[in-house]
Amino acid sequence: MKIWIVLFSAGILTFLMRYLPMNSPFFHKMSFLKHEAFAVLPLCVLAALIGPDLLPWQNAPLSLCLSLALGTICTLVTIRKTDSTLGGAFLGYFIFVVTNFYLEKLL
Amino acid sequence: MGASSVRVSSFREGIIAVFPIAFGVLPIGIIFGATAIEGGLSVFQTLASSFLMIGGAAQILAVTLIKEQAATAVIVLSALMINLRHVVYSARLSELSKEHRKRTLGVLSYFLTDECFVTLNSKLSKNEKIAPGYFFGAGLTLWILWQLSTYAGAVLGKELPTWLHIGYFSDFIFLALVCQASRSKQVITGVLIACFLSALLIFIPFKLNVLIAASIAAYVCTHTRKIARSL
Repeated sequence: MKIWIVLFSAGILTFLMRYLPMNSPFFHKMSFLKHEAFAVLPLCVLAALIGPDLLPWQNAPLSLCLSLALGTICTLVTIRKTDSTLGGAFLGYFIFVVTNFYLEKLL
Repeated sequence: MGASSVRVSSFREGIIAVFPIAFGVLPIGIIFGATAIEGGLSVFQTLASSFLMIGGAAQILAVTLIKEQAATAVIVLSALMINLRHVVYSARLSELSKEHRKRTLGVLSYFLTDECFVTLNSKLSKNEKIAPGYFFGAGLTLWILWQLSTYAGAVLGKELPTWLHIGYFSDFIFLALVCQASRSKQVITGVLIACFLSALLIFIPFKLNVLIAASIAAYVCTHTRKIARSL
């Protein structure tokens, strides 16, 4: 039941976000849309979500911590060098999985 | 050229324009499908999620939070914060409301995703008009690929071995999105604050650490200069 409530409320509200501004020519003149916090907030939510996963210092095995760190560095470097979001994500994840697989056996 | 053939040609033009980036949604859809199944959703619920929300990041976020048993309000609010950018996309397309009926715009706005907006924006930046057929062609192509890849992920999800740690893929997708969009020092500061603060506040129940850390980080990074001046 909880899942359906989440899906329907998020779905309907997302639709309204996509529909209402397009239908009101005055909407894009509203000042809050131009506020910097409005543009930064989605990024901060994403960062806050991945923070505890990528910084797992509580009871996490060393192999997981090391492979996550390596994967993260790989993603950051790939994006800075190639500007490819998908490429960065895939390479970082690939390095994480491979390193974790071998480190789990070693450590 | 008749009105219907104009509509068909702009529809085809929309499909062709979105094609190069449309295939980028396939792996994300597969990963979402697999993550959703891993998070306890049924195949039907996974498909319903893609039908109702059509937003990769928000869907993965919602599923991750459902899996971690966060409060309903926290899940919905977090998903909405991720989707806030759609308000900006939609406002940018408000010119369409002068020429087209509300019913047409209602249908089109359902298909307004990141990739669709990128395609439409390339026309807007050249000061070209967007035909509803073009919008529909681009949006529908992305929608079909998203639904198919979600289904493939939901079905294949059970077959994926545990050593793949499929749940972590969404972290890398989010990390890549954040890194791609963080160009100024101010934004990087905000992102780092959110990341560390959320990890520090992990003990807070209902996953409220995400919302608290994100709000504080957004406030701090947009008021950095004012705070520095007052010190």
